[in-house]
Amino acid sequence: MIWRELATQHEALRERGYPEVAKELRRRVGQLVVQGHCSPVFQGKFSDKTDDKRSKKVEVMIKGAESPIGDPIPLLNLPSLTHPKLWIYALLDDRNKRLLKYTVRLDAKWTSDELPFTISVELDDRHMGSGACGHPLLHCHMGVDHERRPQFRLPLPALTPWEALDWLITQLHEAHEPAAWTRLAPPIPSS
Amino acid sequence: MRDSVNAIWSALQHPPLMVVLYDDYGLLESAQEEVASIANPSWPVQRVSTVDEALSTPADALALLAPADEVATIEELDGGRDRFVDRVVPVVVFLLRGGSGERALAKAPSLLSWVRSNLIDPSVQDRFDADAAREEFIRYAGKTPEEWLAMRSRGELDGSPEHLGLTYRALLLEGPDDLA
Repeated sequence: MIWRELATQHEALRERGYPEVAKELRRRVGQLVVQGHCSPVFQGKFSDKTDDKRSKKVEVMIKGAESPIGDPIPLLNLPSLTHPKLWIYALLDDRNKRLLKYTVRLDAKWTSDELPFTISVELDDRHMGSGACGHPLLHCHMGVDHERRPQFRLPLPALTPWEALDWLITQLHEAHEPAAWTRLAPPIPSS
Repeated sequence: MRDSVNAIWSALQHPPLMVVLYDDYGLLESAQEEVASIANPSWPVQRVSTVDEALSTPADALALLAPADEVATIEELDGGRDRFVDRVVPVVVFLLRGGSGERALAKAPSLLSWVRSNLIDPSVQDRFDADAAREEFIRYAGKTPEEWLAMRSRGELDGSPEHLGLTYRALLLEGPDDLA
């Protein structure tokens, strides 16, 4: 059954630990810098905290200036969007080298009509909802926000946090396509 | 807090030389990968083991220098500032914490004054005070991390970025028994 297989693949995503996740996400933020989509300072702010006394968990996030919740990355040079903000979080179990949860989320408005929208790729840390079809462990919210209908969760293949970031950025700017058809598709035989 | 990430990023903006201490030989490669992940991805990365090899890399390449002989490397670097003036991207020297290279660096005042602001010691910079973080959480959210997560279980949180960030922080700060 496809949903069982998907749940198994999503669970397998967890078999990666710190520091792999932090390093790969940091590299992707570095690519955004090179592409002109964010300030270089965010590579230095892409930090992590480890509670090595109690929970043995690691939180990966953009370090917040004055609050515990972290900061978004304001994205630049995306003309179709107004005030796009990228949020990246990951939570890892450092004791067992497991990825517990991640979120790669963009909040913005369309420049053309000022309508807000959010795209949020989320790996849940626990089973939620009715099951692996109705509430897949890894899913995407797309809509005005998280509150207004339709509150659909789109199932996604087993994307790592950095692959999810690739996907999200490519939705906004296809010039950053990491898997262009021209490089993937076999040549079409000439007639 | 992992202020060493910011310290490494900052040092990478200030060539020609930076020093990173690491805990044991088994962590050297991980330390090198960490520095490379913080660097500008357009910089070529080259791993070298001597000063001459480092200086033979392009000036705009990130040279990760893990000295085969730490003491000899420090002695060669001390007083050798002129050899690095053309570097656009720093040479990063990795020294074993508490090893002969770190001790030699302490006795090389010229080199030490040169790299002091680019000397990264994650053991000093990465301390995390969980108790202070809990107090900060309670001050900010008005609830303990456990109370916050109970609200989450009851579906009382909205999908705002603020609630999202607080949920991650609460999950970080909750006790080991809650690790499901």
